[in-house]
Order: sequence, then C-alpha cells, then structure tokens
Amino acid sequence: MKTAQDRLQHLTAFEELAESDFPLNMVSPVVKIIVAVVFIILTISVNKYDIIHSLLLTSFTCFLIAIAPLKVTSVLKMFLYLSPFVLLLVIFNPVYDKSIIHIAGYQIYGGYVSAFTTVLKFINTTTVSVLIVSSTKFNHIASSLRFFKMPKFLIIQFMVMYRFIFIFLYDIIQSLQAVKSRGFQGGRFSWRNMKAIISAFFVKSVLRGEEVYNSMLSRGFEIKNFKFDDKVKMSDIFFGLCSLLYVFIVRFV
Amino acid sequence: MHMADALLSVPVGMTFWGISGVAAGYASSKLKKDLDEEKTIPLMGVAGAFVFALQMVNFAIPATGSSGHFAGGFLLALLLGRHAAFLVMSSVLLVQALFFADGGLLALGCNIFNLAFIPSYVVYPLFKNIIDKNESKTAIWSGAFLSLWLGAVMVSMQTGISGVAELPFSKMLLLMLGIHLLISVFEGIITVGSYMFIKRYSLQTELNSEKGKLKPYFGIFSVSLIIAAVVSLFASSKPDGLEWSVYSIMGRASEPTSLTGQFHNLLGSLQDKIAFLPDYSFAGDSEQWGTSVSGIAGAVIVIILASSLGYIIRKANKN
Amino acid sequence: MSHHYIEINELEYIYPDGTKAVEDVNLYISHGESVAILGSNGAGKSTLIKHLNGTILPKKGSVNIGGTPVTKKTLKTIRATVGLVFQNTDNQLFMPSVFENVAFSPRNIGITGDKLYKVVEESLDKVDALGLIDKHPFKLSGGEKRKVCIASVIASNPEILVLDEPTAEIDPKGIGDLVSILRQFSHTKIISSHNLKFSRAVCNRGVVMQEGRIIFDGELDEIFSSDKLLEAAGLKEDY
Repeated sequence: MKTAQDRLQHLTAFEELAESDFPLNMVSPVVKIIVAVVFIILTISVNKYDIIHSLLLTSFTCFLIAIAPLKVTSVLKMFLYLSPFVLLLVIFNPVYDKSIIHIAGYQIYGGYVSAFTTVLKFINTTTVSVLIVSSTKFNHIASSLRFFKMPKFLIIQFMVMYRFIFIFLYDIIQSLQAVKSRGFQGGRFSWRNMKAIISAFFVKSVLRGEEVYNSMLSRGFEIKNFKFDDKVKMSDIFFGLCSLLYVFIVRFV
Repeated sequence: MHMADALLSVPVGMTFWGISGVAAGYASSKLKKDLDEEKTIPLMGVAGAFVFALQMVNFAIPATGSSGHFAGGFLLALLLGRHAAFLVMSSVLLVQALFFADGGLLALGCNIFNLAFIPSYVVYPLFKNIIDKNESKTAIWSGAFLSLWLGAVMVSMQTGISGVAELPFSKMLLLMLGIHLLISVFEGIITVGSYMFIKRYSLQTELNSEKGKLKPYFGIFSVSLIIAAVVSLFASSKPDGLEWSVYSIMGRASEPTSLTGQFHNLLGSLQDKIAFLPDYSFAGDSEQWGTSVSGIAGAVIVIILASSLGYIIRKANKN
Repeated sequence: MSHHYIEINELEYIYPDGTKAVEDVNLYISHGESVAILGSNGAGKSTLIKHLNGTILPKKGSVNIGGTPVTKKTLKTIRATVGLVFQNTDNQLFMPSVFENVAFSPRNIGITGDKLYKVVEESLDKVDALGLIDKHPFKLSGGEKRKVCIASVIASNPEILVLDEPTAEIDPKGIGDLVSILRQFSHTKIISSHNLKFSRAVCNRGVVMQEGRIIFDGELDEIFSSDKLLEAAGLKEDY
C-alpha cells in the first residue's frame, strides 16, 4: 500500500527522471502524447485472442523502454504493484470462456489466451504511458495540455495543485509522525481523530493555499512561460511519424 | 476502483471520454463566468491536493483481504459546488493516471465519469436541496454512499460491455458492489464528519457559491437509466459470457437478448463497415492465425529487434 | 526605468470584513534607500508591504514604482522590479529542492541551461547558502529557510527588495547573518519589522505605523531616542 512517503518519493523520482537526457526526453511532449494515445487505442483494439498482434505491439513498448529514462526493473515493479485488479478479473477468463483454440497442435481454452493478451495489453498501455510521463518535465506536460485545448485557468489550477501535492504530502508525513509518537494504541484506527485531522488540515490548507499562490505569482508564475522550449522540431516530427507508421503497420499487418 | 485501459474496448472508452469531455467544457464555461482568479484557482488547487492526499488513507476491509480508500467526489461537490468539484476531481484523476498509472489514459474518460461526473452532476443535485435545508447527516451520508456505489455499478457496466474480461456481468456486478459496500459506508462517514467540522470553522471565503434549488431531474433521469441498464444486463437467464459463446457458435443464427449481446451484435455489424473498430471475430473462426506458432515466434523476434534498436539509439545518444 | 523610486499616494485598503488596514498613507522612497517599516502587530505593515508588488491592489489611492502605477495590467513589470520576500518561509518554498526554488523565478523570465545554474549558484552564494543547493527545503532550519527565500527572490535581479518580518523564526546568530547579508545588497530595501535592533543595523530611515496610519517618517535614531514614539508604535520593550 502506498504511503504518503512512497508517493512523495515517487513524484520526486519522476521529476528527476524528466531532467535526465535520454533520447525520449528530447522529443516534443505533444508528439509523445499523440503517439502514446494512438498506441493505446490500437493496442486496446486488438482482438482478445490475437496473440501475434499483441506481441508485435509489445515490441514498440520495448523500444520505448530502451530510449526512456525509466529502468526495466522499475517498470516491472510498477507492473507488479498495479496488476492485482486486472489479474483478479482476468483470472476468471478460463473459467467462463471454454471455447477451444488451437496452438501448435494443442487445444487450449480461449480463456487462457484472452487472459494472456489482456495482461499483455495492460503491460503495454501502462508502460507506454508511464514512459512518456517520466521522460517529460511537468511544466511541459502542463503546457501541452494547452495544445489540446484545455482552458488556461484549468491548466494553472492543475499546476498549482501539483505543487500543493508536494507540500501536503510532506505535511502529512510530519503529522503522521507526530500522531504516532503520541501513542495510537497499537496503530488502531480512530475515527474521531481522522475526522478532526482531516478537517483541520483542510482549513489550514485553504488559508495557506492563497499565500503559496501569491508567492508563486510574485516570482513571475505565468502560464505563458511554460511553453516547451521551441516549436516542434524536424526530429520530433520524424520520431512521431516513424512511430505512428510502425505501430499502424504492426497492428494491421 | 480506477479502471485500467486493458479491460476496456475502444468504443466504450471513447464514448465515456466524449461524455467527460463535454462535461468538462460545460463545467469550465459555467465556472469561468464568476471566476475570481485570485481566489478560485488556489482554492481549487488546494482542494485537489487535499483530495489526493486523503485518497492515500487506506482502510482495511475485513474478510476480503483488500483495502479501500476515500474518493471524495461528493465531499468536493458539497464544498465547492458541482462545476468546480467536477473539474477538481478530474484534475486529481489526471494526476493519478499520468504519474501513478492509476487508471489508464483511455480509461480516464470512464474514471472521470465514474468518480467525478456521477457525484457532481448525478447524485449531488438529488441531495442538495435537502442538505441546504437542514444539513441532514443522513442525506450527506447517503449522497456519498450512493456516489461511490453508482461508480462501482458503472465500472462493472463499462467492463462488462467492453467484453474483455469474461466474467459475466452479473458476477462482476456482485463482486464490485460487494467490495465497495463497506468502502461506500466509510466514504459516507468520512464525508459527513469532514463536512461538519469544516462548516464549523466557517471560512470567510464563500466556498460553494451555488445558491438556490437545483432541479434533480437530470440526476433522477441518469440514475433511472443506470438502473434500467443494470436490470436488462441481468435479465438474460443465462450468464452473458455463455450466451455470447452460444451465439457465436450458432453463427448469428439467433439474436442475443441481453443488452451486452445486442451491443456486441451492433458493433459486429458496424465492424464490417468500418475497419478500424475492434475485431470482434470469434474464437472458433478458422481464420485464427492470431495464434499460429510461426506468427508468434516472428513477433518475439520483432520484439528483440525493436529493443536492440532502442538500445543502440540510447548508446548513440550518450556520446 | 533606471532609477526606481517608490511613490505611494493616499493609499487606503479595507478588508472584506470592514477593517481599515491602511489609511491615508503617503510615502516617497528614493532609489537606494534602506527603509524600515515599524509598528506592532496589526499596525498595517504587512498590508502596506503587499501593495508594493501588487499582491494587494489599492482600494483608494495609488502606488507607483519608478513612474509605473501598480495595476492589474502592469503586474508583470512591477514584479520584475520589486522582489517580495513574504513572512512565512514554508509557503514560499513550494518546490522539492532548494535549487528548484531558487530557479523558479529566473525560469519564469526564460533563463535556462548553464546560465540558469550560474544564476542560482550566484544567488545562493550571495546569501551564504551555496551548500544547501541540493537539500530538501523541508529539512532546513528557520534561518536557512529565510536565506533560501531571499535567494529565490534576488535570483530574478529585482531593483527593489522588500522583506516582510524577515527575523521571524530566526535565532540571534541567524539574525546577525541576515544583517551582514542585507548590508551587502545595493538594492533599494524596504523591511517591515518589529525588531528595532535589527532594523537599526540595516536601515537608516524608519517609518512608524499605528492603526493603519503613518505616525512618523524620519531618522531611525530619532525613534530609538523617543520613548513616546516607541510606545505609540508598541515597540517599547517594557518587561
């Protein structure tokens, strides 16, 4: 279970990864997002019994892993943490789908095949999306939302919220430490304490929020400033087109 | 509780993205009108971070070995009004999808619908008038409970209609509702408690600017629609998975009666016209080269090649 | 705008609940001065200070920086000229590392890459905090936080530096460090404080506020030597 500490570390790790200079980091955020979305849609659209296409699309994922800052071990760890829900549902596939499929002369229940492809799809979609995000600076992600027509005030709100999350997570870690040190009777859950902590926290936060926002504004915070560095470069378009071409070919071949 | 991409089908994902997108546009335009940038933006940011932080509080659900967490959609609606609440919750879900892969990008449309749209636009209008009048704790609790539970219903429906997981809709629904029963109860309790405490502090900033009565018609309509869909999905006497297989073996000789079956049928015929839709071919098809051994081997080789290419590019980039 | 003076005319600000925070304030500060705004808590110092970079906009009257009035439209230029260090340090250190916090401001002006590093290092060096560059702001002491906040503000090279109660949360040694740092700055300095000794060490002119109005504007030494003024401003250490 992810604690506040884990989440804070996770977010901080992402910020650091985005700063590194792997090939994927160099690509324009808009291109990356478009490629990711198209990839996800194409991956999802594969028939659930179609192992070949699922595997072929996985090749693109592997390619991205190689050029992205995220290590393979980290990818595996994330997958392990995220998969329970999907696995839970898909475990039942063989039970309910007893249609027969032939592979290499063997007869297998369709359910096993669909379970396998679904897991593959899951790996592909989540990994690609994580890779894209980990290789892009947060400010660039936010400003690429502008490209996708998100209203300005919403983007600003999104950026402000993101910053607040860091502050809050840290606050919570502190509060939890304080609470624990005051003795919690073996860590049992006290509802009254929870409600009080939550509400006091909220009120404090609202008052604090305006101050943090003011200090951001005072230091020149403006949505205009966060355009990604330059217009989409030729190399970005090259990457985008090649990726899309590859994914399309691989999907429909 | 956050849907994953892999369990969805493209039409379902796109549909809900469409609904969520339209709702977001609507909420933005409503909010923009009386937007006090200096106050509203930090408030929304704070509320979002607050909900995000709250969602980390896990409570163990006895006898299932799993745990649930607080969602907060209804509380947000109470505190900020439905438009702001919808947008804030969507932002939180966006952060979770982007940075924690908690819910896929395609599934984000569904998640926004389940966790933001339902509490703000479906459930909240139903209870707002009562809550405004006498701050009834029961009403608040019910609103939160209903929001979460309806969300669970929607998840089951979206998964069921997508047809990726073979678990029949009836079983899936029972599973979802069972798991979320206790979670919803706690959601209600926490919402009530937090709301009462926050009200007591009576912040100077008028948080929820929505005055006046809200017509509950849309809410009632949506809830009825959902209930109707659930009932019809349940209605077939055989479990849906089985029915679908029977239907496919018969080669479309008999029309499916369940909603899922009909939906698949519609999409199957659409697929003939639009090649881009998911391939609804059946397991028993002779053209099942999606599982030929040589094909699979070839695909694995491609994987190795692609990985190597990437690795080479990375090394080259380092120099 | 090479010589930035500050001109405040008949400034008035009333809070939403009706409290008059600032009333009929007139002030002229020339380029290069070091002015201390003194007064007890609630005298209106913070409110006045926040007008200087447009965090609060006047309800009546005007604030001019180097001839440019502070309005909603001019906020960007004003904030590039006036750097404001707020009282609460935690609320200004919202980025996860010291480097990021100091880099926030120059980034917003468009400075990137090597130049950005240089600017951040120089700013931290000026406040004698270069060693903290990679630390998490949450783990700093009160004095260190204050230094980093100042570095974050001077990183964008403002001409005018405004500090709101900079000595809060700092021990005497820390205050001593702060004094030597501030003395080196050539900016126009406006510092609100209720620490008389500190103010005297850094500034030569003092403005005393009481209940939203200015009751004295002149040499700091005069304030020190007048018991009446000290008491009126709630600054008399009488315990």
